[in-house]
Amino acid sequence: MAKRRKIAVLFGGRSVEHEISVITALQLMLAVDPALYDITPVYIAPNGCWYTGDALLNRTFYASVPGSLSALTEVTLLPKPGINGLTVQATGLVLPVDVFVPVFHGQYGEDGCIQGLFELAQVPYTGSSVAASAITMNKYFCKVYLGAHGVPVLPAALINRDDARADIEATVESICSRSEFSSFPLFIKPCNLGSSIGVSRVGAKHELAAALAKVFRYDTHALVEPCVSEIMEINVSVRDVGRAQASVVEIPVSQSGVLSYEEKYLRPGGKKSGPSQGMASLSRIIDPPDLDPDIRNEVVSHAVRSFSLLGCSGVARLDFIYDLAAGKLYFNELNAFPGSCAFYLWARTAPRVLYTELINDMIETALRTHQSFASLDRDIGLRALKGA
Amino acid sequence: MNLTAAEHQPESPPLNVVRLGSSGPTVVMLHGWGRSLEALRPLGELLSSSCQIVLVDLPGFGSSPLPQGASNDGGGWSTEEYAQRVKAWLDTAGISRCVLFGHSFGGRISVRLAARYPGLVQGLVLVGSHGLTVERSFGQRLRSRLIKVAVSIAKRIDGLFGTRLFAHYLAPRFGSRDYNAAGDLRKTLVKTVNEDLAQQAGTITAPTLLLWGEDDRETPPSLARNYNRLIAGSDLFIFPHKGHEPFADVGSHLLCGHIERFLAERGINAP
Ligand SMILES: Nc1ncnc2c1ncn2[C@@H]1O[C@H](COP(=O)(O)OP(=O)(O)OP(=O)(O)O)[C@@H](O)[C@H]1O
Repeated sequence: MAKRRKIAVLFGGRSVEHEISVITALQLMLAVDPALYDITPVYIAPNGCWYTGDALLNRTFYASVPGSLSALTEVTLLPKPGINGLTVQATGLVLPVDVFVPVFHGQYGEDGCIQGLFELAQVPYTGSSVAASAITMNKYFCKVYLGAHGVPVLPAALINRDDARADIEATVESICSRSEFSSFPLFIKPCNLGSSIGVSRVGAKHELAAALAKVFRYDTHALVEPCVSEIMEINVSVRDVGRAQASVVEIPVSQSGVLSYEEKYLRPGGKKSGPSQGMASLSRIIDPPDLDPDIRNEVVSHAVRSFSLLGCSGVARLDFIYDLAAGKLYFNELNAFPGSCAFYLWARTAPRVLYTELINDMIETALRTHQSFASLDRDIGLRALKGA
Repeated sequence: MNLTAAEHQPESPPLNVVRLGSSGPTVVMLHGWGRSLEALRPLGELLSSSCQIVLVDLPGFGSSPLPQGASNDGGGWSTEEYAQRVKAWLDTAGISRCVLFGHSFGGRISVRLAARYPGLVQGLVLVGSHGLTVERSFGQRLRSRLIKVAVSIAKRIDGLFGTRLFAHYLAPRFGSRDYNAAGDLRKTLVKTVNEDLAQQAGTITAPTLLLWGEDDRETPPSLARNYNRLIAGSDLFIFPHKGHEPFADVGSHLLCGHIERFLAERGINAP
């Protein structure tokens, strides 16, 4: 057997999506091929401390956090190139790591923060880089950037919490004075959060202040968009295998509540079919056989282009909104590290990609990227200071 | 004893079978005790992009009815009868070459078939398979000795006085979970559970892949190592942090990769 690479799988973290990250990571580690990789699990507790230990592989461990943490070894990643591993806090010993695999959703883990630390430490890591992670986490930046490149996006206003708190009436007036937002309903959401936290549909002007206040409990910036009332959401995963490759699409059906999928989303005469999707089948329809192929193709081509424009890497999921009334498609958001790593979409893509292969490819891509970056010439010496 | 399927044809109510995939080698998947083909379906679905999958509900499990002979009244079946039933079905379905995948109890049946019909079995994949005696610790041996003595005493008392000590006291306390849940398959369970197929395993010539969970308590990895020794040229892989069903959840993806690589490396294609 060839030498196995050491991978550190990092998860948890200081985000509201802490638990989802743990769930995604535990599942991901079940699919990692032990013939190729040796896993060091690294749990970032809600207080920001990093821990490692085999106990982290058991789901039951997390029920008794923080008490159970004392059985683990506290480690850290020092921002110093050349260490190539995790440093044990108590002893200074280094646990070697070949590739870091961040499995975070949301703040600090999916937004460029931890990626910045990997860059400082000069270690290979999977997924998107600092800039791509930071832009995609900010829904406004992401939309403005992609919009400027001709990807269709809904108009949006960015509202700063300080401005709104200083003068809420003027804020409401300025929103309503814009022609894109002159008719209701509007949709209000946090600029930097996921999982549908703090979102509202606003039916009239007098509800706007309360909706903004709701966002400002969680985020410093709010986004105002026209509300798409007859909405069909379409998601697709894109990954980097030297080129951007798209998965089959999915239509999530749980959030919208009413399952009007058959009546509304499919062309008449359509029926749901295909093999079992396990737990996935409850909340989504994967590769809907009767989805209009034109819409599907439009989603895929915008997705692949957006992923490349943003310079994403690893496995992302791009969410689109289709306005059924107007027959128009809009990019909504990009998750740089999606829940379950979107493996359920790749398992149904042709050619099929196993979760295990998805992980292998992410790791090998990370190593390639690291090597090509390392070959850049950055040492130009101390000329300005020495030349004096 | 060397019976052919025709000579030894147990009565055969229909078998419930699910077929997936349209090209590649035929892989017949046999599930464990108390389970059904559904336990193997996620793995079968993944494999179906490179193989023609046949998921079988073994007689008396899932949606395959219990044959009279396998019931308690019929005296129960051994895995020999199970193997013959599967072979008879394969004959009817026109499958003359296939890969056998056996998990746990399904592994026993697969071992029997691979030993008996080398021409049928192109490849064998055993996952957490029963069929060999587990070496037990002194404590475990002592416990089972004591239980045996208690059972024989209880049965004698029951016989003399018409009591139900065995059924009401011993079985629920000391019988395995499978034993207590076996219902009309209890005699079959008793017949099959202690079978030792070492002799059969030693004759297997088909390329064999052994996939095991390191934390498997039901069929510990020592069994895998014994199979590995007995089956010439077999490949063994033990997965850390996995138990008796290493294909559970996304483990199906991991095992699918290992099985596909094995089939490719051993040049096992459509017959
Ligand atoms: N402009 C809009 N009009 C109508 N509904 C919308 C609009 N924008 C978002 N939604 C709905 O609100 C949900 C959450 O919004 P969005 O995806 O932008 O935020 P999120 O919290 O990041 O979502 P996720 O749950 O995917 O993480 C969407 O899935 C969609 O159903």
